[in-house]
Amino acid sequence: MNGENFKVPFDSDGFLDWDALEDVDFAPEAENNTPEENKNEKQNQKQETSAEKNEFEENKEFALKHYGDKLGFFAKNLYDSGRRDDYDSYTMSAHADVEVVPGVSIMSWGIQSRLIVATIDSNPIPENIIEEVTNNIATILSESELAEEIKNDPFLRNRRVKYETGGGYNEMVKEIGDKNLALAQTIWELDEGFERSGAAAAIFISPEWREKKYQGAEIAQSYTDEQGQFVESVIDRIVDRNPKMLGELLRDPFLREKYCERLVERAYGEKSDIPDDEIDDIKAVWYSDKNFYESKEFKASLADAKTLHPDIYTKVDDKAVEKEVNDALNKIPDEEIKAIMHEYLKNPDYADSLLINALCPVLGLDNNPPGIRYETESEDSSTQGCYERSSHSVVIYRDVMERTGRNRDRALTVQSAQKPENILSRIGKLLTRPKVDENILNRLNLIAHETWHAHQWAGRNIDKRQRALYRINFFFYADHNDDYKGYRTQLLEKEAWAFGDSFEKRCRKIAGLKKPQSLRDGLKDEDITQLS
Amino acid sequence: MEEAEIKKYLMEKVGIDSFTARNYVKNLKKFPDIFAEFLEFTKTGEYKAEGAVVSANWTAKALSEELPHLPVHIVYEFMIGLREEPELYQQFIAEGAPVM
Repeated sequence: MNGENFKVPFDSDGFLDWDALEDVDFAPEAENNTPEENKNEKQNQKQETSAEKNEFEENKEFALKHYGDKLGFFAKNLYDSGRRDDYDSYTMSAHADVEVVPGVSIMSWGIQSRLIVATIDSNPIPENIIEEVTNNIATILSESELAEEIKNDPFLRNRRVKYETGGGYNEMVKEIGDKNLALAQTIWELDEGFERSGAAAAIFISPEWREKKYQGAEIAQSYTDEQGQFVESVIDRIVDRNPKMLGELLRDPFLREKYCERLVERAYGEKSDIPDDEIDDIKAVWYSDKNFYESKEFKASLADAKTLHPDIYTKVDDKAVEKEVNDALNKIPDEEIKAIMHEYLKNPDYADSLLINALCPVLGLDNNPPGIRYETESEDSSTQGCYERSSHSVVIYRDVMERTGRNRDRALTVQSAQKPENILSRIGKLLTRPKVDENILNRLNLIAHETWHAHQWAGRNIDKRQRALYRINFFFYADHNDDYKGYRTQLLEKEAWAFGDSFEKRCRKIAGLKKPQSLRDGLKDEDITQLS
Repeated sequence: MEEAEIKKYLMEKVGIDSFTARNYVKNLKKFPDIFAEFLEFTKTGEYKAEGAVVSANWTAKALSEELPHLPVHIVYEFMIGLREEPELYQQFIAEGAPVM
């Protein structure tokens, strides 16, 4: 059988007969040539190379004119590519989106193993559709004008046609919905049609579709697996294009977890950095929606995070924390701490600034020291202070400090913050022990604690992995109003508490003060007797 | 039914979300006496004074007086914690259970 009398072969069931197609010789004239003729033909082909560009243009016009909306996209892509020898790969493919039968489209045409492959947008393809699609392809091929062109075209005539499922991506798109489609299109910059990468993105970002054990989903997922860096691609693409969209995406717990994994990967990667803007944008989206951040789904993420990141939540390395804290603390000379404590006896607000100033070089904040702000009323009646990332400030709530903590016996009367200076040059060598009270020690602890938080976010001396862990913890911060123990034992707080407490212990030692008497150890024995 | 009452109280009066409330109740159920006392609090709005449950020498009422800034559900978290991890929670109490 040869291409001279090409006729689309069908088997007894009316399907395209692939075996017969394999035997079709679409270029009989080449085999009938003598060796000399073949040699001349090759020489002629070389000469033709210079004219190829014009020929391509002519062929492109011809293809668009004659193949129109059927093979037009394919042909256009084919000729645009100008890579005739590269037909064994999938690199030559194009959207077609031609509805071959009602409701079923040919998504794309491509070249694979010397076959023209029509990818059908249906999965699975119903039996009755197969027949219709097959007939339709056969019709396309056997249409007089097209069949003739295939036969005569030096490129197309050697191609055979088969079809394969396209996974029903366009069907997916309809079900995935406009929102996820828009996201997928953003991820892959798809204006029309829906390629595998886009479909994979849509599946990836759609919880419903991830749940479905749909063949198309598996295909798309396998495609992403083959790519190996799909998560990275998705996140990087969105971060580049629209970080706020990432916030929207990360409302999905699966993606949040993937993102957190990615944070750690990025911490180790060559880029090795996670811009704080990215974190801020994401959290801004989350926390602008109370329904979301108080949702079961989001709260579940907090619980999941504890399970998935034990080194942040449930199994923080106490020894590592202790070492880190002590390493920092040991860099501050006793004299400087003593001078600061003396200043607390004169002007506590000024002393706060001095303390922060003393801690900054040790905590990698010397080029970016946090400010300090005093609030007289706090929204949360139990919070003594906090580190405010948006303003890079240590915030002290006076009213709460007066009511909570170890010493609630006197108000803190302080002035506004002043610019720190080198205290040693002003005060000189101090020999006397500062007579600080528990109130001041509590305050020293608080300032050290909050400055450590500033270090966690802005310190330039933080290990990359540690920084990523901080970010993850920040994402899934355990709130004290939900779970006090969870709040106290998470990495961010465990470190800050350890630093504050160690600093207070050091101050206490310098001041020659013993540990404070602990508060009541509960009820006295007689009370218990009365109760029972 | 009783669980639902506590959950409803936590969501409506304390203002915590349903997921956290459910987990909270699940934890509370590990100690039926603490569970029962918390249920009573949801009805009376007062900490039990006589015949109160004791955890590591603390009653909920004594805890709430010692640490007045703690909301009721955290007070009862402490009651549970004092049984499960007494040293840790005693430390929290000694520090005044501050929030920084």
